[in-house]
Amino acid sequence: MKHLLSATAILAAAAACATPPVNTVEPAPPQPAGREVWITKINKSSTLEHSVAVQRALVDESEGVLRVQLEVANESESAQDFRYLFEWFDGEGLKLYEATEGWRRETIAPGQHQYLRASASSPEAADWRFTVQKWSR
Amino acid sequence: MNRLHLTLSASCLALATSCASGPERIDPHSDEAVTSMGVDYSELVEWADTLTRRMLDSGFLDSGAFGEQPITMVVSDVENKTDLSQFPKEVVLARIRSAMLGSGKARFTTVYGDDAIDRMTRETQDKWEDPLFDATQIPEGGQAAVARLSVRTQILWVHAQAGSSRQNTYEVRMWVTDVASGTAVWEGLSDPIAKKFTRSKVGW
Repeated sequence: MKHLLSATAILAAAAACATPPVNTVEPAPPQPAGREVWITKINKSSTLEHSVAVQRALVDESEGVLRVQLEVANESESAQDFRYLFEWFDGEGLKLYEATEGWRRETIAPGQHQYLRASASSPEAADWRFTVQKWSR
Repeated sequence: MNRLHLTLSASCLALATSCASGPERIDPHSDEAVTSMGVDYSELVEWADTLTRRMLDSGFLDSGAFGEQPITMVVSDVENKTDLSQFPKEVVLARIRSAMLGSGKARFTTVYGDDAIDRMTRETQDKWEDPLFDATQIPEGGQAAVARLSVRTQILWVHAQAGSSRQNTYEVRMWVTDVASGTAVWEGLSDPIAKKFTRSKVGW
């Protein structure tokens, strides 16, 4: 009996802390102004790949700077805290110094889609890399 | 008795040693960094990134309305409306300025304004009559650039308290004024940074 009560209490506490899932409805996406690019993924964590799944990458250079928008989705059953980093490279593949470079933190609810946007401030930027990692509060 | 004292002292020392932690270098963006109820380093960098991107993406610098690029800008007042008496505004502004300069679209005057002033431009002009210097090397007057755009900043704070929980929410409001017309040509906000602390109900 005691075990049952303890288990119920733990379950209730966990439910209270959990982020509720989200449902999303949107019209079919319009033809993007940016260029959709193929992406190469190097996955070390299958859990993270599932919980912060990069579904689409759009790149736009029309304003004279490289801009990237990634659509990520949480396909897991729980909220995910993650941090991410965009790095920029010139046409020769050399990493560019960006004064504002740093990890950014986000939380994504189960079922939620998020758009992560980044712009290179340097007009020399020709390539980019996105890194994502779990974040502990 | 002496043996007991010795054992106790040794135990205390061992306990103190095991709890103490000397300084160690950490990645300021990592989970090891201290999370305070204020705004922490990685969050200031995040603000700088967001505001720079929003300013550059908005296109006002590319409109041609403010002359040729790079357009000269000046940092106006930075108003701290938070509970933090020593808000490190330079951590944000330095990154914004550096990124704007790197973009080739804008540059900031260092002769006047409210951030990173270098008095040497003015002082160099004062060397005309100083026999110590070769006056022919002193730049002619009237060359200092006048800023066409001014960047004004407010650091905002909202405090909330309910029961044993406290929340601080911070954000940056920034706007750019065309000093010719006196109208804002861009206005933006950072994403909010919210911190919550719940005091334990069990007292010591």
